[in-house]
Amino acid sequence: MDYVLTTNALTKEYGGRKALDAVSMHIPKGAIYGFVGQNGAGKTTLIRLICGLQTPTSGGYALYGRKNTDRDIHLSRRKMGAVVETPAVFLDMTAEENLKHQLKLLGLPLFDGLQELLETVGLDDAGNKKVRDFSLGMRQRLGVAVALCGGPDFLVLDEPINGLDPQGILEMRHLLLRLNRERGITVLISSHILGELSKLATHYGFLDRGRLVQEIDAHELDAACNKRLRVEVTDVSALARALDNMGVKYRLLGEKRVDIFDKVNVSRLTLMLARQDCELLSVQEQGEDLESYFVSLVGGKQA
Amino acid sequence: MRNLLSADLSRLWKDKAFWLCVGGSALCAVVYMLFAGQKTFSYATGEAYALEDHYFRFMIYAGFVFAVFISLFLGTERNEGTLRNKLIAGHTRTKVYLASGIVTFLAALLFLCAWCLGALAGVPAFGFFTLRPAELAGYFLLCISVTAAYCALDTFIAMLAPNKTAALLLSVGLSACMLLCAGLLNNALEAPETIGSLAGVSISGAAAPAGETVANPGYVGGALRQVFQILLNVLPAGQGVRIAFLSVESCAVMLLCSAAVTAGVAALGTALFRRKDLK
Repeated sequence: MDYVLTTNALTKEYGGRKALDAVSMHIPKGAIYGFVGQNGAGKTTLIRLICGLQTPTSGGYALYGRKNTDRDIHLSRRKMGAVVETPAVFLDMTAEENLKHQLKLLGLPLFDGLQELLETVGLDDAGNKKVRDFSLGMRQRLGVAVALCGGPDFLVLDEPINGLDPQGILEMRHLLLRLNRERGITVLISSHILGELSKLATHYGFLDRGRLVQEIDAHELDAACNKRLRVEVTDVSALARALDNMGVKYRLLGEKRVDIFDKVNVSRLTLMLARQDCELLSVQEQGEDLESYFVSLVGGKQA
Repeated sequence: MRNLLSADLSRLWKDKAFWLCVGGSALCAVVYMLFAGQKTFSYATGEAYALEDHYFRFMIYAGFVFAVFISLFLGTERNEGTLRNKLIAGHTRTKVYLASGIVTFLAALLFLCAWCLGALAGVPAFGFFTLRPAELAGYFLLCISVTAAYCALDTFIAMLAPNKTAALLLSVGLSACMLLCAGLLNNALEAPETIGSLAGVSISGAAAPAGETVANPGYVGGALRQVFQILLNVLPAGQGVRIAFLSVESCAVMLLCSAAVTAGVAALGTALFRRKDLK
């Protein structure tokens, strides 16, 4: 598997206190990697390290195959964009001026795609407005636009939905999914809002007090969370026959209810049941969600 | 480096504080020269003042102007987090540090130019320079080299201080300390070797015949005088005072001292900035 970022026993100490303790993580190319942990777990510290803002106390990381100790690590960094903690924008400049400044830093003085960038993050009407007058949500979006300057392959976002209203959260989710699916951008995203993260991430890393407790992909997480469909019908034997025909795993729970452990096409199942005069009464998704899984993993502390 | 300079220079061009300092320097020069022009000769010596007697006075206060501007300009990048964008964009820390130093030096040179143009308002009162062209060129060169030394110091503080406020306080504080030290050193070195006695008592209190000259007890001589001279040459504020009062003894020595300060501080700053943990 191709990895955009791998860390090897990455450790960072501040005055003898370990903020990150031998973290070894792997972010596959094309993934949306959800980084989960409580306040002070070390999420931002790890992001600062991979962005080159700080140097590891021990261990290391490789970005696009280049080690952090390589002299040309900055070449790998040119493929990434990041928003660390707060959006890094000049308050006295307009949104457009901020993007032009970033494009100049990247050696793209023709400002190609500037309007498209503003449209992508939903700030096309605010390009000439001073950032000082922006809401927190608008600043977050501008921060993402700055990170997207130069067309990065790897986007690192530290709590990008903080301060966004529900509509803004929805738009940010759609934006990240679009960037991932249409442009193939790999995303590392840390967030406290686990419900939102679970709608995006294809891989997860769980961090607790500086240690990486578990690294898992979304399918494994679904299985670990015992994700299943609880189906209620008028004739359970008809349902069993249909499920056998579809070749999916299930368990009978009585005369009317069945738990299905594989993904099923509900429309197809409904048609098959109708042919046997069996009615589908209800379908419910059951199992642990990301939040309760994380809480059980780290021993009762909420993210 | 070119991309960093291009981005930083375009930000400088749009910076209100920059234009305020340029305009302020020019305006102060005009006002200063118009006031100075009301007194065209020395009451003590009876000699007429020349333009250069007032022209370089900016160098006394230049350290404060540079300190305020540089700490605000570079501190903004620290406070608003945009310094991170440079590193994430793949620029090395050495280049980021040096580009910041170059841009602030160019800004400071423009403040200097604004003063020099504004100070020409003194020409109607004092006439043009009476210094020989080589001497005049030497003074202008010294102004540029002292400006570089000030910028190196202020960039050092702004790039390594934890935030904009700390950078501002440290830079202005350093400028004040340097000016105070330069004033004390200059006064000590300017003290005459001998002084006259009055009514049979010298200033030190010892008996002496009236009208006779005696050794000045406040005179600094020997090795200590050399140390004071070196310190005055090394301190940018010391050089500024010497330029302002046209008391430069060796232009080459002072140029070398400024160059050494600029290079030494830039090298140390770059090395420390490369190790600094940024947020």
